[in-house]
Amino acid sequence: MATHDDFRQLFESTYPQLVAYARRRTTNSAEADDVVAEIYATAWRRADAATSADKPLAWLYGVGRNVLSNRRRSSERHLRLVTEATAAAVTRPPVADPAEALAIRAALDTLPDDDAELIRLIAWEGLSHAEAGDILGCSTNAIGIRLHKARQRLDTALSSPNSPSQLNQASNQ
Amino acid sequence: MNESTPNFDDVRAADPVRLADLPSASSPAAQSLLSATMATQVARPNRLRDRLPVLGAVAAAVALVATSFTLLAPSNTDTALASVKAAAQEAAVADSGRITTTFTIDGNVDGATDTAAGEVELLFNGEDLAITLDVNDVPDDLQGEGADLLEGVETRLIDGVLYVRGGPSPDWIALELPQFFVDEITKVDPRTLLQTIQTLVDAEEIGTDTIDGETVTLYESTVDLTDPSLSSSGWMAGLESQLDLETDGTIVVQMAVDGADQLRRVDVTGDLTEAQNGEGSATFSISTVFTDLNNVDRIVAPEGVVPNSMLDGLLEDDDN
Repeated sequence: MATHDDFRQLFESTYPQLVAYARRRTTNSAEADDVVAEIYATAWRRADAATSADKPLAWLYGVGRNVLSNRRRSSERHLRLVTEATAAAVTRPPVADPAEALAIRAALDTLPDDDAELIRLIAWEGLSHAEAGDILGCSTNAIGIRLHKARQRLDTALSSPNSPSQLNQASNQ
Repeated sequence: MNESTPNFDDVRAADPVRLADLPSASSPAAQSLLSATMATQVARPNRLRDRLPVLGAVAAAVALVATSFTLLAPSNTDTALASVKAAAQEAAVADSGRITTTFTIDGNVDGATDTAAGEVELLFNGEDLAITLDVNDVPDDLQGEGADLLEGVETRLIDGVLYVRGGPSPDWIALELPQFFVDEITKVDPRTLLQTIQTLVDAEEIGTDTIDGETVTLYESTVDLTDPSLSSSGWMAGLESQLDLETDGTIVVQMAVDGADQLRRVDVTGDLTEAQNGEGSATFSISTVFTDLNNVDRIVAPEGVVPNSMLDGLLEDDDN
């Protein structure tokens, strides 16, 4: 039986990463906070499972995936999220080369959801192929294949005439 | 930017979040969230029959079957397994088809049993959908509480118009759906389950059967839900969380492949018990038959039914 201390330990060892996970998939910090609160509420209801999981953070990401999916389904928010995500990509603080980061984030937003999520889990959450496979429900081998294809699609999106990188290049010529 | 495939350093650098900018777990906001969360009363688990009313039970069982296929698979050259995978792949890439699923679920809570049974038929052609739902054995809990809503319901989704008939309404009604709503519905790909068969770990040829006068080869695979690789799966945990259900048990999957290497039927039987307190259990049997693969040209709208725009304003996207 999980104790309050067990849950507190889980919370304190995962909170920053979970906030980052939520912010990467929402359009503002308030919505991200709501997602984080929902994930921990679920984890609290399932404290035994959450605290005894082999990889607690991956377990929480698995819950987060369903929380985000439910939020999109339960309201007519999906289109709005896409629209706002595009706008947010412009307003988010720049990292590294701003134009390059913007182009990659915008290209990611155009990929099929599963492709984009896989790339985010590997590149941003820093998960291994096996961990990403646990969350997405497929084998490590399948993750390798899907990642290869996802990167190809990302490349195609970045090479699209309408991608920010290409528009930027055109405007500089 | 380099126009070749971006390396992962590029993608990592595009991360919109910097961990250094995030609140720590000891921040006031985090501690406030932790306190609020832990102050929440943990609800007493509902009994199985409350958690698994008719469609919920079907969804749970089907989802668990899908989950059972996610066991990590080493490379496997087993002939039976290869046959099943090839057949499933054939069906999974079909552009159209008819998928008929019959189900029976027997629940047992504190010695009292209850049953749900029925049939769902799904017709798809890549553009439109037709779904017929008929729950002909309704659990006692739902008797007199709108159970007739589940009897003989026909729906068709054609060109953004949802046609519905059945239950208490013998006549067709037609509702125009906003495009985003149609998009959400059509994201449900009936072939997803088949694709997951590609990750099965083992299958054994167990004999033959006859479907529509044609001899089919039967393969069987057994999945133990207590397998550590399942229970430690974040995906499984997420599913259980969504269903608010913890499970133990075994699922047996039988697949029938015809002489043309076409997957014709998937039969799934299993037992579910509540892992947490063991108050309830359920036995289920689900049989899915695939027919008319790549052979459904049109799904026809009912004649003379004028679409109603009564949903206008109720399902509008916020930005429009």
